[in-house]
Amino acid sequence: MTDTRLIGRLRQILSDVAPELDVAAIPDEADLRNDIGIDSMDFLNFVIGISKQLSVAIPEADYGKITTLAKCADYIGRSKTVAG
Amino acid sequence: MLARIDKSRADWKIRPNLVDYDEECAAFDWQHVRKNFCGLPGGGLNIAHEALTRHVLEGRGGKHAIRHLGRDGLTTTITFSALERAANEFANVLGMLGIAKGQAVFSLSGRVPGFYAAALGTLKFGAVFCPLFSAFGPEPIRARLEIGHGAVLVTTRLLFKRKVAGLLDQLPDLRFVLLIDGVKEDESDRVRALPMVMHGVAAEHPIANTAPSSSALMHFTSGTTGRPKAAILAHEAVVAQAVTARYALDLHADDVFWCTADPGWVTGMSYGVIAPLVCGVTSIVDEMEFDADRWYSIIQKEKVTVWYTAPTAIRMLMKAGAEVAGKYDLGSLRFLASVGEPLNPEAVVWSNETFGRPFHDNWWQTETGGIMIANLAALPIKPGSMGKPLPGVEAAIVRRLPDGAVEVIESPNVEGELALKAGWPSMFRTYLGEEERYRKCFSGPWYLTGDLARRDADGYYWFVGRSDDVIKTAGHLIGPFEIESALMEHPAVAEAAAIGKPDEVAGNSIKAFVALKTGHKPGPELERDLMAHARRRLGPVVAPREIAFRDNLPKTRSGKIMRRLLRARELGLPEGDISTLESDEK
Repeated sequence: MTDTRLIGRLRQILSDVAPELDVAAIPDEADLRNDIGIDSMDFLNFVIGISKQLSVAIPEADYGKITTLAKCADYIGRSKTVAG
Repeated sequence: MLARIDKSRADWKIRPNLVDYDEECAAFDWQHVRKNFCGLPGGGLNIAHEALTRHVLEGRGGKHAIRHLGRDGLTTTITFSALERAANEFANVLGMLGIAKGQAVFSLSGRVPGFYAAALGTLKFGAVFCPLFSAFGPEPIRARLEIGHGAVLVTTRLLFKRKVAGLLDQLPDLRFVLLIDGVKEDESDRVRALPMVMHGVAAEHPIANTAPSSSALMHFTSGTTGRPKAAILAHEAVVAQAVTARYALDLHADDVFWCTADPGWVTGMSYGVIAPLVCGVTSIVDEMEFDADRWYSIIQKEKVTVWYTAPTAIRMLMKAGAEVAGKYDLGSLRFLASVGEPLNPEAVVWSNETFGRPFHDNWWQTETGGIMIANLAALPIKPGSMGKPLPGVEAAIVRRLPDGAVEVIESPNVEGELALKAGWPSMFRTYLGEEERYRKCFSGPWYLTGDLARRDADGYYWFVGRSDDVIKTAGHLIGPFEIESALMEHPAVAEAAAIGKPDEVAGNSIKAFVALKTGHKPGPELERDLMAHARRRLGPVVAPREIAFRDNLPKTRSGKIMRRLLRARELGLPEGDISTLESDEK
């Protein structure tokens, strides 16, 4: 999956967690918890959505590496590569 | 699971403030304690004087009051003198705008330096300060400003644009909005850029001659029914807040203290702002949201000695794992405390194994203004217990009698309502504009907390549940009525009920049951639309995380929705007394 497509999927997952957001307007580099108004529980649900829909498990210890859509796509891209 | 974590004197890095519990309780006298406060000439008392001016007068003005860790990565150090000057400037702004003493100044912001100046400046000026949580949506903000007759709102450009700009027409009492990061272009009759208004304002301000009983703080809390309640605390709350911080948080003057609570909630104000300043310690303020690595790195870098946080955060740290903690040197930590909801015993034991120090759970409410019951530094911890009443606090387990009186239950291990003997200095003085609701909280000498609990034979108290339908989620008390009202505003909704559902991280998450008006069909699209509507109105903390559709909600003969029954069914618990059930769930 290209980064653009992956980020598109992430926007959709985020929109399922927080349907009030205009996800298309969220910059790739925006800090999800500090800039766009989602809380810690939303963030956990976002991670659960990623795990269910993209089959990528993100350990809690790595939450600091997926603070923006761009970082999140990068992280998923890498873990998919490692997984082969 | 360990029934008890014993303490050894060999583990003390320094001598705890409270060592002999029984002796301290026997000798304790609020009148005597009050004498340790500086006070104002003529017998007045003002929180800001105790928090700032006193330190400056006594030569400690150069000490760091706050080390602010900004989202830009910069650390800003604010001394007691600098904070006092900033507070003075803010107080002068209020005067310049024609605000009267006793009027309410609200804040809606994250943990930014401007917030602290506004809070203390308001107190110094003699107005009443009310912090709001920045994750609230427009509806909770509007309701609170209206109930509290907010005359001024201090906020940021972003929060104003997102949540407040559309409300101005509905808030006639709100005279001014002050934007902490405002610029000239933002200004209008009612909206002012704080940096511009503050420009050239004097850095001195004669403190208001407030009495100990003068209103100082307004904190909102929730009941099962009706609108949010504005609990008012008086300036003398400072006496209890400082004393309890020394007992229950073991604050010593050289401590580096980190209270992670947002100042939009009572903990963030009582123990995130007031108590640490009065005790003269250095507080860490982190502007960013929770992140396990970030939190540990802060403890390591800032050499935090006393850490006060909440079960939700502790459970998230547990999920992140001990290995993450193991990457950091957390050896500076001396005392760990938790509040917001009962801390599960596993978390107490985990912290003891991971940090070599256990979390000490404590209990209090918005209405108590300060910590009342706590696990203490020098006493054994019973994991899962809220601890023992602090010196000066008389607690009991009581049973309500049909005539409105209460009976004290003397035997240990019997469930009843937790009650406190009224009269401690930080006790709330009213619910603004709702004297009747206030009066109902008391019976004879007792303040009735609404929490069900039991006391064991050693005098430790154990939380059992709530006697009403309010929901504790992530440490925040949310009234179901506020959620249901917002859902009912949606054109498709006929009836709504909100309950708390156990959640391994948040304690409880909010689930709403909804019955639709004729002509509307349940389905994923409507669920999404309702969810978006609720979140837009209420903000993520107050809005439900889950919505279920029903044809009819269970109701009593008088038409009240039986949330308790919905909750029992959701959780697979016994349905209890359903003799009043008239129309059942479908």
